[in-house]
Amino acid sequence: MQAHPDQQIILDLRKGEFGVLDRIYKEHAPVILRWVIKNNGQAADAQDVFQEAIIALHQKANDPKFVLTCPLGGLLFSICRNKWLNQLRKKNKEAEVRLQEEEKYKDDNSTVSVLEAVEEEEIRQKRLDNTFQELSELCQKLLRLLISGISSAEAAERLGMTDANTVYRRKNACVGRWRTLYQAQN
Amino acid sequence: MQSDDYMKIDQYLQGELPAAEREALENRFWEEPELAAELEMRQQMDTYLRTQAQLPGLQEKMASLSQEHFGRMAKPKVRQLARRRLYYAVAVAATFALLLFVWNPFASNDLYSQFAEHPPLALVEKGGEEALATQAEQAFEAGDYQAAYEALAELNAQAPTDPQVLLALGISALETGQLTAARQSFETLAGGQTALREYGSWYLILCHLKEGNNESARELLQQTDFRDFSLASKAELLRQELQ
Repeated sequence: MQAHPDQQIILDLRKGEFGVLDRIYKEHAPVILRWVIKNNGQAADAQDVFQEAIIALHQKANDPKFVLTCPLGGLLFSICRNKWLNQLRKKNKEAEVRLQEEEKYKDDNSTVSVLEAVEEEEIRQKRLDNTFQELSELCQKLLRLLISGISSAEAAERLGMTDANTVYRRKNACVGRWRTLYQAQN
Repeated sequence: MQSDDYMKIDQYLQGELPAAEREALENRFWEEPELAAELEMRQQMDTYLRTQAQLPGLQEKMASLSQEHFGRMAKPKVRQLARRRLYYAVAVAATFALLLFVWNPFASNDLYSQFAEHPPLALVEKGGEEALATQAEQAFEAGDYQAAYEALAELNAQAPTDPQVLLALGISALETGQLTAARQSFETLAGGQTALREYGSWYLILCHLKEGNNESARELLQQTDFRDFSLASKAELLRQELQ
């Protein structure tokens, strides 16, 4: 499917250019605020679900293969609605949950598929985070350093390793451990 | 898969594989499902790592926008770190108690921000660790929790029984969204017998607030008795907020 014009926002988030959030908050936060308050929530709840939605969107934006094929506003609303639905469910407010469940089926197909991709990414990253925390400090440091964009040779120098090949071998051991932990969790 | 495929995938993702080898590897992705699956796993890990690297910047920006759009403060305040010797631990705990007692948590509406005004922390001064302790303090003071976390993790590895380092480490992990690591530090503190034991319990409750899980915070609060007067006062205020 063709990229939606809002794809540029995804590219900005991917690059860490968070100035784009000014526009996102201005255009979409009032909608979420009104909707949450209308559905038995408070401003605090609206802020929480909105921030969680932005974090989830940012997680998916960092997947280089991700292409936004629906309007961002509709996607953000769907993410926030599902999060608030889960909150209500936890609070055992079943009547409100049932009312909002009906709204879920009003999403168009393009939004549904992107929404699912975002929510799957959120679950995956939570699992990756849980298992990353179990790695040794050196592994965590090495992996963080390499993702920052520096070369393996520079990483070797910074970590006192002999050469880039040592970095590759050590990284491979760390990633192997991480993979084992992750797959065991699934 | 071949024995050096893991390294080749690494080099491929880092953009460090020569063109000819890159093309050969890309051709193999189509023919070898196991190799393609490994590539996907590595890409997912990289997506996670990139996200984490940018997270502090994202959270800072969201905090600055929260007040304007939701009328709430979201950025936690940090007090300046003080330097003390380890044998002052009990005295420091008393200082924490005083600061926490006089602090008014109703300055904002966000529960986590209200209750996450971190007290001054005293790091250990020992010959070989002094530079690292200073580095950790400066980073913590500047609100650079990622750098503080890394320095504190090294300090903690050198002196794993230092409760002040453990508390600062947990706070830094909490502020950088590393909730599992934060909980590990606070659980160790809470399960120990040091002067900061109750601070471990208190920050375990703050972990739930940080997640926005007020219900779990309320449940844990109900299960925890604070003998420390200042913490007991704060706990009572939080209890009222959560009702």
